[in-house]
Amino acid sequence: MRYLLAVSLGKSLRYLLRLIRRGGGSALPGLIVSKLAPGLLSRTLTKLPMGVVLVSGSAGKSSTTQTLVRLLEAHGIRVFTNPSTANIRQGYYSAILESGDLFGRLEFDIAVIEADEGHGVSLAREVKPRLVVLTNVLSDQLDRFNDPSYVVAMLQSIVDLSAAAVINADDPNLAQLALPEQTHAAGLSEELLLSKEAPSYAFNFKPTPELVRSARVVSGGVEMAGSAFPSSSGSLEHLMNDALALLAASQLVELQVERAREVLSSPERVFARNERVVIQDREVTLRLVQNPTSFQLNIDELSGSETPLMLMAGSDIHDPSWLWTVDFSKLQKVDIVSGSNAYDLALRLDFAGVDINDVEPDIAAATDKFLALSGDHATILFSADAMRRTRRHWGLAK
Amino acid sequence: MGAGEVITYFSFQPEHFNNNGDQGNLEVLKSLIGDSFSPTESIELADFVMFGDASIAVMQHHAAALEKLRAAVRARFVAGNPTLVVGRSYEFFASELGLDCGRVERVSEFRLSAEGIFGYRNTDNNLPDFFQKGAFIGTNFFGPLFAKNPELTEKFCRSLGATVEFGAKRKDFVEEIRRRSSGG
Repeated sequence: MRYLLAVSLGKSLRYLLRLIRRGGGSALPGLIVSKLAPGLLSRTLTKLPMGVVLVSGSAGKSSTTQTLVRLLEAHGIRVFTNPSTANIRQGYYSAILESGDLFGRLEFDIAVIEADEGHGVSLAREVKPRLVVLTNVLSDQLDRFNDPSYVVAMLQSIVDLSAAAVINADDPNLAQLALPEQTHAAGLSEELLLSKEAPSYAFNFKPTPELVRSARVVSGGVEMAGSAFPSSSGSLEHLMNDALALLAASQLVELQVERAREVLSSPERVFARNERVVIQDREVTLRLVQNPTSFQLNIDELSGSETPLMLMAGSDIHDPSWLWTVDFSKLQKVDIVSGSNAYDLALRLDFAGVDINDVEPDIAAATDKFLALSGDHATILFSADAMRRTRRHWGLAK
Repeated sequence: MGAGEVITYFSFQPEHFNNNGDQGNLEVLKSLIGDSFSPTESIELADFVMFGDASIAVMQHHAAALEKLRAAVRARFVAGNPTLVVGRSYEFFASELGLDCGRVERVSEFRLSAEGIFGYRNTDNNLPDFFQKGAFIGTNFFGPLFAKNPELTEKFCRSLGATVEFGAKRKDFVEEIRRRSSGG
């Protein structure tokens, strides 16, 4: 009865908020229900017949989660998941409110949950994952985690609570974890490991055990169990996420090679990774940047023809100092800089020699100004908070 | 230092000691001073010396090399020579600056020091947020300290023998950053 009341209240609140705030209003109901019915999450998820998979790490969680979800769905599995960036406790509850019935029950086979490193430990404690997928450890969110060694400790706790693991074995921070017997590893081919595009991870100088790579990232795709899986992903970071998702899927279902190939070669897989939307008859490319690595990747991928170009740094960036680790020198000009950290980003860009036409911290005003600018390759790079506010302003319900 | 004379800098292991974009301070000085600001591999010969913040793993890895530099850092402190030590490097060299480094509850927030210096503190050490003797600076303010403190930076550049102008637009940006971080 308690769950019925809490979920009913949450669903009603969600409905009302969405009437008021187009495309938004999912966080608050999740937060309230998490307080009113704290046991709902474990009760709901542990009843799923195929169990729970957690995807965690510093970067690439969204891409890996969504590719894994698509791979499983392509095999006829009904997958419960949380939306990209809604990877903390209230986000899990919001997802239940969205997909569950009035008792919070889920008609799914399995849950694949993107879990923030900090919140993942308590979630793992509650749901005892059948599998954890770990992407990497970067020097990221130092205002929260202070030091990568603390992130490693949190990921170790998640691993300790999980029956099996799939990890990126190229990252020494992950390869050095005490891993369960059922661990499978992905990595770059030896040739790619030596390339200058090979991803870097949080500094680690300890000796690293050599793990057998069951999935290998090769140029343009992934190789696993004697089959090649060409991928639409561009960077080696994204290909590694594909390899992890593929390897994880192979532990959960009998993988049909053709179906998996279709998923990996699909160009429109991941939310806000070079996503194209149409706003007021205008095509706009959206790119989510969540940390120095993804910001740098997105800057590097720009062709120079992006006009108008807007960069947005929202309130999710608590200490914008890390913007100074990104090399912006490739950019000639930025039309608008926005978000609550707009002036920090503008200062950084100015010292990098980038021309800035306008600084407008207010996201609604900035997005309106942006759409009024001419140019046929409108592009926005935004942090998660700026993305949510922009989507809400434009009524993009995600 | 005469006009056009080279101003040299030494930054210890810049790739590893860049936890929060501390190496951005070099970018700021280079942008203001120009091409005459150039690197040297000798701490003894450098006009400006910097030790950025680093992770625990990096500090352990370089501990022996850092130990060897204690005397040079102490000498720069005594002379008040242009130096910037940040975060865990500040902790490492605290005893050379006559400071006792202890532990308090970690605070992560924007702050204005008693000297009017603005920055982001994210540490659990008890050292002063900003500590200066002459042109020697120890600080817990991570990231681009020089970018966010125009007056300090102009004065610091003068100690290096360079007269620089921060620029009105950049000063406006800094003003807005400070205003917004204080809830204004």
